[in-house]
Amino acid sequence: MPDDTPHSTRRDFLTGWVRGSALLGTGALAGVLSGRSQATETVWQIDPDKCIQCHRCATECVLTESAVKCVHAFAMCGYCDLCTGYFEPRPNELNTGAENQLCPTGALQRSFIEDPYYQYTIDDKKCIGCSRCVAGCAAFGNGSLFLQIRHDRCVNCNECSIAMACPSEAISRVPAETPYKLKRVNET
Amino acid sequence: MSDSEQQRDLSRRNFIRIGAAGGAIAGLGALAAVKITRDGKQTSDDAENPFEYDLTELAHIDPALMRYRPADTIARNLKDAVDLQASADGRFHIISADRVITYDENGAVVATINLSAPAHCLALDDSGAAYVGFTDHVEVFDAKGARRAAWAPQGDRAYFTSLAVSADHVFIADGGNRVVLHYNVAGELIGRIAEKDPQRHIDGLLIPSPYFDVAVGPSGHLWVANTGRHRLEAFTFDGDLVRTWGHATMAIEGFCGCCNPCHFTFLPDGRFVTCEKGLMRVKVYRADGTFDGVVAGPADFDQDVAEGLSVTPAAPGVGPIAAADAAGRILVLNPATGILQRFEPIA
Repeated sequence: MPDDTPHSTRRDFLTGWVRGSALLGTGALAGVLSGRSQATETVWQIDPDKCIQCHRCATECVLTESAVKCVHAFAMCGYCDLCTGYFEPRPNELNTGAENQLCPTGALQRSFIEDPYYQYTIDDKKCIGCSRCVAGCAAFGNGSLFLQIRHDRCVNCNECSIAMACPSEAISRVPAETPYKLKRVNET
Repeated sequence: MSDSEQQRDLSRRNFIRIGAAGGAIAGLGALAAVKITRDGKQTSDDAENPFEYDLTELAHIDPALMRYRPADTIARNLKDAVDLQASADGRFHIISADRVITYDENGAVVATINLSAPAHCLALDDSGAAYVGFTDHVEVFDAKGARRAAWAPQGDRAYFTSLAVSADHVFIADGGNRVVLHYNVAGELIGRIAEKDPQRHIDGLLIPSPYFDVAVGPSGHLWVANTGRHRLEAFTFDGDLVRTWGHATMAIEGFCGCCNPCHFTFLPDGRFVTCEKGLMRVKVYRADGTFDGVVAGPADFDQDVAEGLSVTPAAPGVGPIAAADAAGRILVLNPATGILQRFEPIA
């Protein structure tokens, strides 16, 4: 009795295997390209509400000078004479003496506006993203100082080394068209 | 097996043992030195933060300064609470989002008033009527919770933070406009208090954050927390500055941070109870403004966190709120954890 069952020959098997492999390879290539495309459409950014001021932004970035800088939401600032983001917890006097300043590099600048208000601005070239001022501002003040990854400096690594070290998982990818997570005054 | 073979075998075994022990020690050391972070990846455990903002030393309070001790925890889960008031009948009242909740002295809810929107502040008069402050206006509710009036809004810049009622007078702390608005109970604006006026020797209010408290003291003066200047100021109802006290310092006898005291109230004997945010402290000052002692310090609020209640990171600078009952006990609400505690005097 003839055997009507279709046989899969070795040639058929090999042909199918090669075709399958080719499809798989194409799929993988498409996935890689898609991933690269996606990577260019997103950038790394810090969520200020999750940041715990651990200092790692200053030390973990692949750049010699971190891409993370402090930024200031002026609308939230109290323009205080005794700014806890600017002064050491126990300053000798409320003046610009280096011994009174919290910032290790003198990046936070204090200038008199009118009695009794002072304005605080950040010298980007000096800021190392250590977050001491952010911690001081958050502890007592309105939290108007916070950290952001500056995209004029960030090289957008596939794996952000700061994000990997961040203990509060405050760093994630965000759409490139909205690259910053800025603090704003609460409307309520 | 010859002696030399045995020695060689023992040596190999020892080598393996030593290697295993050394490997284990190295492994433990590595575990201590690294930390698992997101996605299971490891990072160095940098316990030494060279940029740490350290308030540990300042948070310590000399036990000899403690005048009160925790008596009991009255309520939990009050995370939306923004104001606390005690009334003469032993009850206390909390603004929690869009509700006024009244508790008996054991913490049982006895009444609730539902509001049209989230409110900021509350004051009660002798009849039990509740004056509720919203962002820009006040609504009045009778003792049964029925709304009796809604006063005219005060404009876009208004941001009401505190209310005080005394007989026919209602005082509203408007942090947005840095002024205390003086109303009568009919809702008519009859004066503005604490605005800068060099001719009356009034420096004006400095309110860096939305904490700006007012209360009428036993002496019949309106007391105002000028937080940016770290002092309390007393005014007559006509707006004359009577006296001030308080100064900025991290030391226990003064007010710390950029803007404190964030809240204050009075004990039945006329002493002040002050609350500070940042370095959370509740203290008592004598009627002349001299420092008396401490009710609660940072360690008391750390205990809240130790019980597993997290502080809201998006709400920096939240400070405690205090109220005093007729027996001189002090209720302290920590809005960051939603815990309401009662403190009693140390005999």
